[in-house]
Amino acid sequence: MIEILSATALATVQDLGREGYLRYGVGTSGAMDRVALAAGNILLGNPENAAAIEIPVFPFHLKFRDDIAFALTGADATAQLDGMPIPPWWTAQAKKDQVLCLNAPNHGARCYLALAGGIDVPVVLGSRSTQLRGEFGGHCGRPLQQGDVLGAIRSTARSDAFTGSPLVDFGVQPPEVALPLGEADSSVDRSRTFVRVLPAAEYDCYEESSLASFWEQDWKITSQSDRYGYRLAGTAMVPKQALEQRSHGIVPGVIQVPPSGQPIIQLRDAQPSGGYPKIGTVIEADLWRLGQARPGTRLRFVQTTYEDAVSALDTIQDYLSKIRSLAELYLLSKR
Amino acid sequence: MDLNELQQLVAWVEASDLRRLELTCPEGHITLTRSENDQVVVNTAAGPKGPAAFLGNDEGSAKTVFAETAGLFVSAHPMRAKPFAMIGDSVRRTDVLGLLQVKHLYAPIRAPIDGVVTEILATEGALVGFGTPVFRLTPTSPLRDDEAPRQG
Repeated sequence: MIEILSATALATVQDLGREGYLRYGVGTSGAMDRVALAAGNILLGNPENAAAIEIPVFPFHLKFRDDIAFALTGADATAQLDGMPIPPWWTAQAKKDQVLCLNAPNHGARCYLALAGGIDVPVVLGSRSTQLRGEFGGHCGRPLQQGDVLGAIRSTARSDAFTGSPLVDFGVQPPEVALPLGEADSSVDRSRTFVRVLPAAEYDCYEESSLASFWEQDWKITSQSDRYGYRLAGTAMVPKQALEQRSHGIVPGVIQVPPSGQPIIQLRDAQPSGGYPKIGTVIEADLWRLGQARPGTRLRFVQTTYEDAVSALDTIQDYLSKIRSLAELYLLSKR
Repeated sequence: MDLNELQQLVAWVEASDLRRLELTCPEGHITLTRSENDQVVVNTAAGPKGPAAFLGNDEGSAKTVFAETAGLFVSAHPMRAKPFAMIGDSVRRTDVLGLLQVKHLYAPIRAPIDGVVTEILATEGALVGFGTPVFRLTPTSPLRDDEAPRQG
């Protein structure tokens, strides 16, 4: 069990999301960086979809009430366990009463804390993710508060030989390094995030000059950006003629253009319908990159194709499969 | 290691693109080799040749830190510019000094003692074998170490 010591708001319990309920008006929720969530679980031998804590506000402190293995992925929060540094994208063994401190990252937006076995909260509509709008799922349907105590599901994923081993002490290569995108030095220049985009239904309704600048300009991620969506700022998009539509279904990643011409990217807590024209969709395989892009930094859209969008998902699955077999091999070699 | 674990190992090698896997554990040494017709061949040798033999030995006042796994030597985490340890740094026992990278996995090289880094023996990005010396530390004198021992 762990106890939240910070008074900070906005940390939530998330898994990979609540799929299949958009038709009933229930958004997907789920981790903003699903690759980090899955990798944290893999480091611990959990199912990829186990629930973990998404932490977007720092510093964040928690206390372990039992001996338990944990993993940290996502943004590098220069973590310390009772003063001992824990590298990013790492798994370690915590002892009872040790305190974990996560500090403000230099880059990246969200850190994920996974526990061996996964966070034990009830499954609601097939998911443990917090539905903030509907106030259900996760821990009591709300962000975590100071004093909250969360347990872990008893781990059955790893054989007895692995659980509780003091040798749980290794890391994996983050996807920003293993799966780079954009300019060669983008891992150095972290002020700009590249994401691949498929043109959507109303793409052709915009002026040619607007479409050119859509792909060529750096869009600023404004401070009005959170789990619901990111509002961008740049040269306004101009339609060939005024567009009006009835509300229709939308999914995370959809880029809408409201009358201001400043795009909005709908994300994991977005409502499942909207009426603004859709100029494009950030591909599912790149949504984790958005999840780590901070307000104030810049975003660049790269046009892609349906085939490439699908194969990009395979690339992520391949990366996750590789880290799972490497972790299993490593633990076996350390027995 | 029992037969079930050996079968699991064979399954992993079959599922991977590895050509050869060597594993040393306290019970002995195992080599799994993929033959030309894609069969995995297992060879074993018994013997007390465990990692304990590589945990470091004293050479005068210096302490050599050996690699406990094979991998590419990485001095700084790829998300950070600053190396874990540089020559002249004071380190505490269990501090990470560097990483050994095997594809997407990083194994830590941890300081076995409180001390000062006097030599970095591995080259950035170079393949380091099991048992290779990677760092040399000068122990911090207990008399001058007036700090409280680390908790936990």
